[in-house]
Formats: sequence, structure tokens, C-alpha cells
Amino acid sequence: MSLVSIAFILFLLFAAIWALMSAIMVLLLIRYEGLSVATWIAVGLYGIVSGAIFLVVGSHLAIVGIDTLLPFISTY
Amino acid sequence: MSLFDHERVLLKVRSHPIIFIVRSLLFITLGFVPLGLASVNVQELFGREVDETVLVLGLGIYYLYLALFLLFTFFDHHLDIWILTDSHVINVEQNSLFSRNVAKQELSRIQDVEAQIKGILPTIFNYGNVYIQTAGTEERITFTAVPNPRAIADTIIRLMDDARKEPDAPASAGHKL
Repeated sequence: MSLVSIAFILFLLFAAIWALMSAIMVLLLIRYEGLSVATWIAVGLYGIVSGAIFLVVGSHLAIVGIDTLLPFISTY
Repeated sequence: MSLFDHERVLLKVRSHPIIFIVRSLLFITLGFVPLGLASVNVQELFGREVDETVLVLGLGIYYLYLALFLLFTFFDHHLDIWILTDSHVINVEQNSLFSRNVAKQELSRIQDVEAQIKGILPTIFNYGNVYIQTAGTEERITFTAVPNPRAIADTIIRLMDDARKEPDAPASAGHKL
């Protein structure tokens, strides 16, 4: 398995944990404080920053292609 | 924990925003670290050539988790709240993601209120701690790094006196900071 494949799998794993933690935090904020202005601003900014990061990483991965990221997948 | 029917919320207070800003600055500074490393030869740093895709994936995770920790800082700051009603002091403390303490004390049981402003930043931005000592063996309630602690302590003392004078009636309204 190439270094790129390992890095991509680790990225998916950490991104899944990140998504779970983010969802828990946002839900707890809404549960305890409701949709206050501060919550809207914080969650909105968080969404924009996270979206931008995924956009940059995703566009790079789209250029690289699945054949480079997970070359062994074609064997199955 | 809910309020009684006649009870009115007079004051809701959180830590001073400067506390959140100072904590956030750490993560914002960490955000610039990869930019500083960009001037260093990556090949020299790792002893071998690093694939661009690996770098992008690594940086992606790094920034995602920085943003997550920044959100947690806001979460921790925003959910620590102290509520003053006309008959109780309520301390809501978010210790971690799944640990939350809510403590409620009657104003009539409060024995001593102390405001403390200590340090350069607290003096400049007028924030500090308010310590509330209650009768009995209960731990004292601390309003941590709240804005204008002296005015908050004065309000609590006034409400405390009202609660002692008229134990069955709600304290007089209109205490504004």
C-alpha cells in the first residue's frame, strides 16, 4: 500500500471523527442555548471555514483521482 | 433545573469575551505554523521527498482539527453561564463535552459576596471573579472572569437583603447593571 493510500485512509478516518465531534458540539450548543445569534455566528463561521478546507482538499483529490488514492480498489 | 412560577431572571452573565479571544489566539497562531514551515525545505525536514497529496491531506486534517478546537473553546465559553433570579443564584458549568453541572442556591442562604479584579488584563477590561459564600457546607459559587464584577456583587447583595427582609415575596425588580 502506497503512502498516498495510507494518508487518504487516515484522512477519511480523522474526517469521520471530526464530523462526529462537530455534530455533537453543534447539537449540544443548540440544545442548551437554542439558536441564539452567537450560536448562529459561531456555527456559520465554522461551517464556512470547514467547507473551504474540504473544498481545497477535495479539489486536489479530484485532480489526483481515485486510481492514485486507492489503486488496489480496482482489483475488487 | 427549572425556575419557580414567580421567579424572574434578572441577570445572565458569561465570562468576559476577552477570555475567549485570548484562548482563540492560540489556535489562530497555530494556523500560521504551516505557513512558516512552507519556507523550510520539506525534503530536508522529513529526510525524504513528501508527496504533494500527502501534504494536502495532512494539512487538511490539521486545519479541520484546529477549527474543531476553536469551536470547542467557544462551546466551553458559551455554555458556562451564571444566572441571577430574584430568589436564586444558578451556576451552570460545562466541564467537558458530556459533563455539565447546574447548581442552585437561595439568595437568603448567601452569607458573603466578594468581587475580585486581579491582574493587568482584568484591570484594563474590568473583569474578574465574584465569590459567593453560602451558609452550610456547600461549596462557594464562583462567577469566573465576569465583566463588571463589582456591579454584579452589589446587585447580589441588594437582592440578598431584599430576600431576607421579605422571605416569602419575590425581591424588588429593576436591578440593572
